Amino acid sequence: MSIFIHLEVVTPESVLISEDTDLVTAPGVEGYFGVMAGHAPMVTLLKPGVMTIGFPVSPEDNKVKRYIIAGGYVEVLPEKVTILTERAVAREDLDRQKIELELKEAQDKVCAIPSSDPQCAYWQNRVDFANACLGVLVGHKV
Amino acid sequence: MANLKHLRNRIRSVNNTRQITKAMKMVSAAKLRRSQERALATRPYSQRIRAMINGIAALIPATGAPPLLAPVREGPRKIHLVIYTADRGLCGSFNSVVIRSTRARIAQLTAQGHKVMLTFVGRKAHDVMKRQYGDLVRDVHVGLSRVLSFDLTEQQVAAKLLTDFSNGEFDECHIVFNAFKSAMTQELTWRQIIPAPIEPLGDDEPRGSPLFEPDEETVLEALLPRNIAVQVFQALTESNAAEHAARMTAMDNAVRNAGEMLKKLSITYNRTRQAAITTELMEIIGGSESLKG
Repeated sequence: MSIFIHLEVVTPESVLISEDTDLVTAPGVEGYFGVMAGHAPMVTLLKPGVMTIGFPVSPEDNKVKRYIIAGGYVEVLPEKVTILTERAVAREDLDRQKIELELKEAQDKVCAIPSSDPQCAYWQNRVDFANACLGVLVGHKV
Repeated sequence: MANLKHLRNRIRSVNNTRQITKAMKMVSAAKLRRSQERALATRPYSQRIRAMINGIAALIPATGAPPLLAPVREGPRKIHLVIYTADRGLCGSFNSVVIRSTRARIAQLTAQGHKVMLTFVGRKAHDVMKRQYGDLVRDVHVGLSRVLSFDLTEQQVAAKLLTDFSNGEFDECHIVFNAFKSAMTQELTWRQIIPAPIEPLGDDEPRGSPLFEPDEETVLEALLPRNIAVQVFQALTESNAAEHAARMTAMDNAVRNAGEMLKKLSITYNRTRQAAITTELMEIIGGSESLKG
């Protein structure tokens, strides 16, 4: 069996990533988890957070790719991982000013909308996503 | 016999039309390329999420299934149709195919005793059908295909469908749109989105129970509304690509027809001109002959 597992990250607007890798870590609703080739089949919900691709050899390893994803679903099969998410942004593409603006807008919306409104969950998700982005930018290790 | 001035005007106007249709064809061709990419790009997500739901649905007993998945009861139901057309015309039979099929479906459903309600995405079908079915119309969304944003579509169309469904406004929802096949062909497609149809598993699909985190029900409950949003969005991108393809073909035909007409008109014009010259010459010759006489 190959030591690589095929990763696909799919958003409603495109197939963002399709590549072989040795390790994927993702933010599950019940905590971060890692997937390597030969993993038992699994279906999980994701929360907004950081996904990494590649095996970190040292803590400062910059070969590891980091993406911030806005929640979604993941289906794990022994030789394949499919991540369905609304949004994924590479660590390098983050723009701090933009994120801060987005965060502010989303926070205002969350405050303005009653929590019973289905829109509220949507904006809460945006807040969490922006927070995850900022977390990465200020250098929290995941 | 048409006079020369009249013919000249006619030629000029046909020529103008030809130029306009030619320009529209170019614009559609350019837009088609972009929207085709978008349509193809949304397919994977939509397929995967349906496959996931399918896989999980097979593991859940039908009695415990959430309402978005539960098989509908027999007998008269309230059925919601979401109709996708273009916001604008001049795209051949693109809109009329959808409208004709929807009319037939409404007639069929009403005959079976179901109650029908309609949501329109795109202006054209609504313009045509509002007179006949005005009291069935629930919603009209215009301009979504200009932006093609998943977020916007989800908030405007899908969120409303889901709220209406959970309030018991309807039991079943179908969408109808032109699916993009190629630049030359569109395929009219009906798809049931609520409750989510469960297809029998194929042979290559994994069977057996995977791990669920937190558990089957929670995962399914999160997947189902998302699936509605994705299906609604995918139909929009498909319909948009198909619209540009249809318009391109229609405009291409129009350019060709205008060209033919132009050819015929200029032949008539030249003949008429020639005839006028000949008559004039004859008169001059006749005049000088009689002077000589």
